[in-house]
Amino acid sequence: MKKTIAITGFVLLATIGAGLWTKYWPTAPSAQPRIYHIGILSRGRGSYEVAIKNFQERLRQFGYVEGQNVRYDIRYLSTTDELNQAAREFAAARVDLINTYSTPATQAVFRATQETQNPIPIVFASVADPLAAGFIQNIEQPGANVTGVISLSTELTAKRIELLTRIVPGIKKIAMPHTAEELQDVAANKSVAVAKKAAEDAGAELVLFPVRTKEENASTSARISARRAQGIIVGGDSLIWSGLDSYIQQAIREKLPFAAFDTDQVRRGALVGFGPDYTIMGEQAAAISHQVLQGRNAGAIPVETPRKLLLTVNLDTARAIGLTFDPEFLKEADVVIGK
Amino acid sequence: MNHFRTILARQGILFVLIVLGLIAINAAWVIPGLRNTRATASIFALTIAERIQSEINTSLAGALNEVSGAAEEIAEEPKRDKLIFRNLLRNHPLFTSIALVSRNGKELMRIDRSGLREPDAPTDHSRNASLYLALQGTPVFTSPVITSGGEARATLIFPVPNSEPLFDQVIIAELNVQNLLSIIRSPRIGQGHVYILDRGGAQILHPDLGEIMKHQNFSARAIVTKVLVNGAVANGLAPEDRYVNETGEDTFTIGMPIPIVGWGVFVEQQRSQALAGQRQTLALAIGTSLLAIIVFLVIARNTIRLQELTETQTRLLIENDQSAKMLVRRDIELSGANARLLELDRTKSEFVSVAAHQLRTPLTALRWSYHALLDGDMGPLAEEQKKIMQDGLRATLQMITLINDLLNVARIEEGRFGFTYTLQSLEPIIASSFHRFEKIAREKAVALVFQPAAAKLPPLLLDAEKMGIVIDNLLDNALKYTLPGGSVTLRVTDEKTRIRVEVEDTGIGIPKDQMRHIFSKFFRTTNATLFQTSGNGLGLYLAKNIVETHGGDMIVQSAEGKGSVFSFTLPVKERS
Repeated sequence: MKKTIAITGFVLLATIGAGLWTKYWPTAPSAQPRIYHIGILSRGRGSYEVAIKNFQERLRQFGYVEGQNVRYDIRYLSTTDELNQAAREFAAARVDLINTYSTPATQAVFRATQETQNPIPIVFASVADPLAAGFIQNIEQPGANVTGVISLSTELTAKRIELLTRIVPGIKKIAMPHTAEELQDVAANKSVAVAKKAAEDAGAELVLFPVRTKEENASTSARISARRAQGIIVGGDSLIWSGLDSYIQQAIREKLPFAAFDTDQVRRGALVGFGPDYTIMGEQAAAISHQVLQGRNAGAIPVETPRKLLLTVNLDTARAIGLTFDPEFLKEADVVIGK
Repeated sequence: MNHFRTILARQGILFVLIVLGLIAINAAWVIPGLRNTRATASIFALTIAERIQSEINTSLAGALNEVSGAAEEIAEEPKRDKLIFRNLLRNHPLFTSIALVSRNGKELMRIDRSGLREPDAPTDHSRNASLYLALQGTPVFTSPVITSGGEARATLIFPVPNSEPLFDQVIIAELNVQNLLSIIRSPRIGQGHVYILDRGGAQILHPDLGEIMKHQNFSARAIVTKVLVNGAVANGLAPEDRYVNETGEDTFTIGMPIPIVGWGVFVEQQRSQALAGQRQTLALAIGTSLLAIIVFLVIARNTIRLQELTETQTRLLIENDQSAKMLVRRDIELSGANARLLELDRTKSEFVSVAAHQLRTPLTALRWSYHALLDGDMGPLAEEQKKIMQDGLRATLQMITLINDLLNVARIEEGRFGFTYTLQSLEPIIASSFHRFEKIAREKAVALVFQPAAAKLPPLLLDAEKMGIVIDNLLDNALKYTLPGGSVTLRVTDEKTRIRVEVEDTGIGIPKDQMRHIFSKFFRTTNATLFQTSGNGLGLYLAKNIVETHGGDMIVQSAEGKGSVFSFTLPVKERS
């Protein structure tokens, strides 16, 4: 009798124990940690390199250590074909996430991933106007498989014209290299529209210099002379950004004030810049990517705006072109480069 | 305590199993019960949060619609902008000021509740990234800023659609979030409260203004990340939803996003209060378990007592069984001994019978010899010789009497006494015996009195000779043990169904402790032995046997030194 009771009790306890074990014991970690595969597609380098560096660093802080549990495939490309090819390769490799820089790069991966049944999540770190580009439905609920950080580079084009009007009061002609309209770079085209409106409001003429390839930047920049313009601006235009150094050098040669976008461009020789801090944007994109890698639907994560817009001036360039900044203007600067 | 130790010692495994079983049984209802309690607390808080979220959403959506309407009106009639803004301020209490801002971030016009403010020192909005987002056509609620007065001020930036697809102007409406305070103050949630965080985790609304002034940011809390970053509802049941607040209280908190602005509403309660039902459920479970254990202990204690009693009973039964077996053995031994005794008695009776028969013949011869000598058949005897002869005759007669009694006893015991019953009157038999002892009584100076029945006695079925022996024995004993001057009364009474014969004397009586042996064979009382050396102790035994053989009964009443009453009854046949 006692033996029967003991066996019954043991079976009862074993059953309860097994149930509790199954219910509450954490799933045993797999022997091999998961290795995330992240594809990074950037049109050109420049500021994007800075953003990508900070993107990786921030992810490392989240626990994604390259060589241990994360693998990056970084592509710096220029043409639409190159971008499309890389996007297709990422899609074929079924990477876990694609981080993009520029509107054309995001367009390429957006198209490539829409062709698959379970679209790979996309986190853009620099898209000027994702609504206009058609990647997202609204800022709070992007929908589809896309989210990221908006760069506002198209809208800020007007601010660059304003900067030129303050630096060169009464400015009449402003040169603007841009991606040729037929290449259908949404951000570039919108930047031109914004610039035209701002120039008109400022009483200045916008002189446009269309560019079709990265290589054309050199020849196009050579055509921008002091005779043809009193200042240069760029829009949210990744093709131009990819050849930005040639425009900077031309501006210095022609002693033209060049109003660029972000701090990195100013550091490379542009006279002033007004735009987001790409180091921070890279970190913002990393934070969003972390949520996506943890399983959250990219389309449900609100698109973020840059945390800060910086006014950057380069005193060396100013000296090189024989310009002296108004002290009041300098007080407004967030970042001053050179002496 | 001893019983408890006994229970543990005897039924330890069962006790442990029962305790585990109780735990399992209780767990079966306690765990769901606790879950239900937590779920109920969660649903209660979520209901509150949902209502608050809905009201704030409605309020902000209303503000958004108002500004949207104003933006369209301004796009159509730019010159009416001041009037439109004034109406906006008047219609919606949330707004504290409305500004029209150009693409480059310059304020073109601002109206606050104190009136129109000319843009003499316009605020520069060009560093506000939300401005550019709005210029892309997206309305934006910015994160609130806490003023020096402790009020949270958010801004709603809305594009003016006056030059689409590009927007030239935006409306920047400042909202006093503090005006939403009544919404979070209204629910009654005991000791708990509701607070609102902006998308960055900063506290922007709290029932206590002092808490707002602390400029606290709770983005480090996991529940805040869940609600604000992940956009998920925190129902308070997940481990990460639990936190200890700034005052050190363990909390039960739920959180819910407010999608329109990316804020979060949190309902925080003291965990102990919110989940008070859990304590009650646990207390009930512990109480019932303890009660069950006590009941078990009582039952076990009684069971052990019962077991002990059963063991005692079993032991006694075994002892009884052994005693019974011993008794059976004794009975068998006694039966054997009895059989041997009976055999011995029978042998003795046979011996007595044979011996008596053998003795009676020479004794009879001796008696006749004595009679012949005393009668002078052998010549006259001298007085001295006669006296010797008379003593010898008396001794011989006593011997004959003894022999006869022994023979009668032997016959009775052997069933050979030979009763011959005839229907006859008892009176002649009594009279005969009475007359026989009259002379002896006179010689002894004892008054012998006969009291016959009042009427003639009915005839009885009896053996006259044997009945004569009975009456003779009783009268003989009475006269023998009654001192001179005493009396012996022979009394006959007709009791209808029976005839009673009594012999009452005033003799030495019978000691009380020897009464029960008076009818035993060969028994003589100690005072009788001292008083009269002759006597064999067979007369009363013989008399009682004869009476009982006639269907009657014999009893004695006596007091030592005062006398005795021997009486016997004989049944009367049905009277005609």
